[in-house]
Amino acid sequence: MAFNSFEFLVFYPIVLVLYYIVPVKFRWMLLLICGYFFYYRGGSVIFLFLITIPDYFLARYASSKRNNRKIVFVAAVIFNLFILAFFKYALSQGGINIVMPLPEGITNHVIGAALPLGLSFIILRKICYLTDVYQKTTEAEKNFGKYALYLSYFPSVSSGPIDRYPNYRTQIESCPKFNSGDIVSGFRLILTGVFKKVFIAERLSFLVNEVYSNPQDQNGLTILMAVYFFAFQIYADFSGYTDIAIGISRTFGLELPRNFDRPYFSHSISEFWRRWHITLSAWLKDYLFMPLASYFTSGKHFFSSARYRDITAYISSALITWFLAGLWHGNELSMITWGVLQAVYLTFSLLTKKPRKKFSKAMARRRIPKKLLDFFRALFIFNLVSFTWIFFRSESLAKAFIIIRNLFCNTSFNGKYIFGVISRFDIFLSITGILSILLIDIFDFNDDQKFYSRPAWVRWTIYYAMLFITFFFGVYRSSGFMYVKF
Amino acid sequence: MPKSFIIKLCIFILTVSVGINAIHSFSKYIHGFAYPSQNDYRRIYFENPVKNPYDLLITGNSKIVNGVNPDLLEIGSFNFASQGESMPVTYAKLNFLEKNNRCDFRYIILGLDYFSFSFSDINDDSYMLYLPPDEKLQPTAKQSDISLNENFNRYMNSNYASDWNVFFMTLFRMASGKNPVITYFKENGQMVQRGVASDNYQIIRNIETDTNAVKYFIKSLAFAKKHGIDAVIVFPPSTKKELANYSGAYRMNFDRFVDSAASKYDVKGILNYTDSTGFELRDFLDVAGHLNENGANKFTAMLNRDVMKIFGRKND
Repeated sequence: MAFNSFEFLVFYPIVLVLYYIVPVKFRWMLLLICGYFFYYRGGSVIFLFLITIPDYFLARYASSKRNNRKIVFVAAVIFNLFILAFFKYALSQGGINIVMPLPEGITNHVIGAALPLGLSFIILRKICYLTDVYQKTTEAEKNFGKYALYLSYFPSVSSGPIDRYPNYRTQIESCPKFNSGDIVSGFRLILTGVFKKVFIAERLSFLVNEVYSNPQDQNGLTILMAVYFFAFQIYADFSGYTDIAIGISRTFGLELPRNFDRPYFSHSISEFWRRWHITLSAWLKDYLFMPLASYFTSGKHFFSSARYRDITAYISSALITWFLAGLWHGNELSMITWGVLQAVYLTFSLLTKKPRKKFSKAMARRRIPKKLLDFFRALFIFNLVSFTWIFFRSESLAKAFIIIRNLFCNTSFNGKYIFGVISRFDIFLSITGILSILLIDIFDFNDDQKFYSRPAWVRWTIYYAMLFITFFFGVYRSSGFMYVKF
Repeated sequence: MPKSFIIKLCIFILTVSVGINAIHSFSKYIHGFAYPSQNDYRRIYFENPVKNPYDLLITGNSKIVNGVNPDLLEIGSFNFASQGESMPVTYAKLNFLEKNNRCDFRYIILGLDYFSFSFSDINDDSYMLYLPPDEKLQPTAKQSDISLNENFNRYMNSNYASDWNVFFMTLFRMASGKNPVITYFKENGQMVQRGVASDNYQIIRNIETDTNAVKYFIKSLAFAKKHGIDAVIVFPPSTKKELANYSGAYRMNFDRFVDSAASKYDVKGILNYTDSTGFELRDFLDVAGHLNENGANKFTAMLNRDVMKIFGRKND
């Protein structure tokens, strides 16, 4: 059941009304039932239930004082990674088959049906819980139902945000009560999310889909536009999904973590990753990068020379982390290249930190306005990121290279060809969509304090404008959200 | 729940509903100046073909509905083609005539192009509009087979989120005193659209053989044979950009198949104007090969000459 489907449009209001009708202490049960129903409409509830059971017991064991709890913890993590690898990579045609070849007779259709909804996100949440319990930063959940709700909470089950267990537990234990402020704020986020998805992302996909499916026929300017359009499409799509998820959760009085913080205004690649898919970046940092970096700086590995230890540790950890991040998104070479490129950028960013600081100081001495400098920095980072999205969006590495070749070598920058792909009106609406998402970021709709500091008439104009624009200029499709496929 | 919250929510929902309905009604009103209304479609597709007298029925997709002007044909004709018409729809429309005892025409032109066998869907709203109201005559998927979500999306796209560019253009034309009509029907079934093709555009056809389309093409030929109607298959002219989508081998196989089907079902002739050199870009509405009014008249004159050679010879 996608957030932008008619089914959900009926499902959500019913759940919301029921939620505030049932007694406070039973609300989590209602959310659990609804979570399973939501999952049932897009995946196998039996599978979800089955993968919930072992962790519940293993985590309780790992939290005990027994000697072999480390072995149990490691086994539990490996078990989860095996589930992910099996469903995501073993049963996969195309790309790199890292586990085993696909049995004869199993078609893509079967795989599509077999891949459980939101599996990648569920597994990350499970590992997060197991690690926190093992490290004793949180207690193992005694109530199986509440643990099952953590994994099946419907606003975040399919594509995150990846909420940490302690945050979830504190909130669910506090039994949130009705708060009209939360409801209004939640509705605003839902509206913003739907606006981003239906008006912006779907419209931008017109040009993007055409260009990425036939890159060989396109000239430089058309490809350049498609590359920029995709940068905003994926942002509008994924941040739109997240806004809806956070908004829905807020109407239940439960706060999900923020996942985007105006990423295209970042001044460096590391800053970009602190603002883009924040919960995944934080997960990668806490559960992969930091342990790896700590291992590499310990001197137990082949880079034992003290002089280069830190830098080699950083590069090795970044490479492994982003290689795995690429693999997490998909086993195609293009996706892995996307991941590795992030590591290359981050390494380059680290290596050039000093000269960049010097450059900034020199600019300041010449009285070049900081805002102007920041604008160019953001523009530069945006271009670097947009370049990596080529690999992310392309169906294969070969197609990605065709796009790059045509982008830089097909110098026919004649604008008239764009109109052969989509209409002038669609281009106008696409550009309006891009400007809207930039305005949403400038006004920071996700920040309640900033948003409510504006006069009531401005806020209400924004609500009505977003609603009417979505209604009349939206593109309604059953395509669902992009990140659901991961 | 606080009362004030519920009151505010109700006011918001009420104002939004009123606003949406007002904008929607206004846009429909403006669209009415530019496009044929739903009543026009019903009259042209379900009334005129039943009550008008004609000896020659013309079927096919948008290239035919735009491209053939029955007034210029020597045989009394009716253009029964429609935009985006797939083969199952053609067959359903023939059945509609049969059900209404209107299979008394002597000749039929079955319009075809090299894209005709690549689709057979009738799920699009535009097709549903043209389909006979009797559900039993609908050949493949019915409205009820389509998911609730899909229906919702179609409803939103076709009722609220469509053709705003036309709305603004029409408003602008009306404000500047120009004729706002973009598309209209003639009572003989021809659809006339304003415009001249621009070379700036591209047309991409995803070619694949849809067995359902082929099946209903054969059924349509069989229908004509069963009723003793003389059939001619007509390929309308097209543009170089559209033809670039079809390889030589694909076209050769396509022609071979149509030839064999035509001989099996006693088709009187195949008139292929696809590569006709008599047409220039200014005769078309777009690079997809839809003729504008001048192009349609030019094509109909050619068609009349060739059709008369076939049917006239038979009459002799």
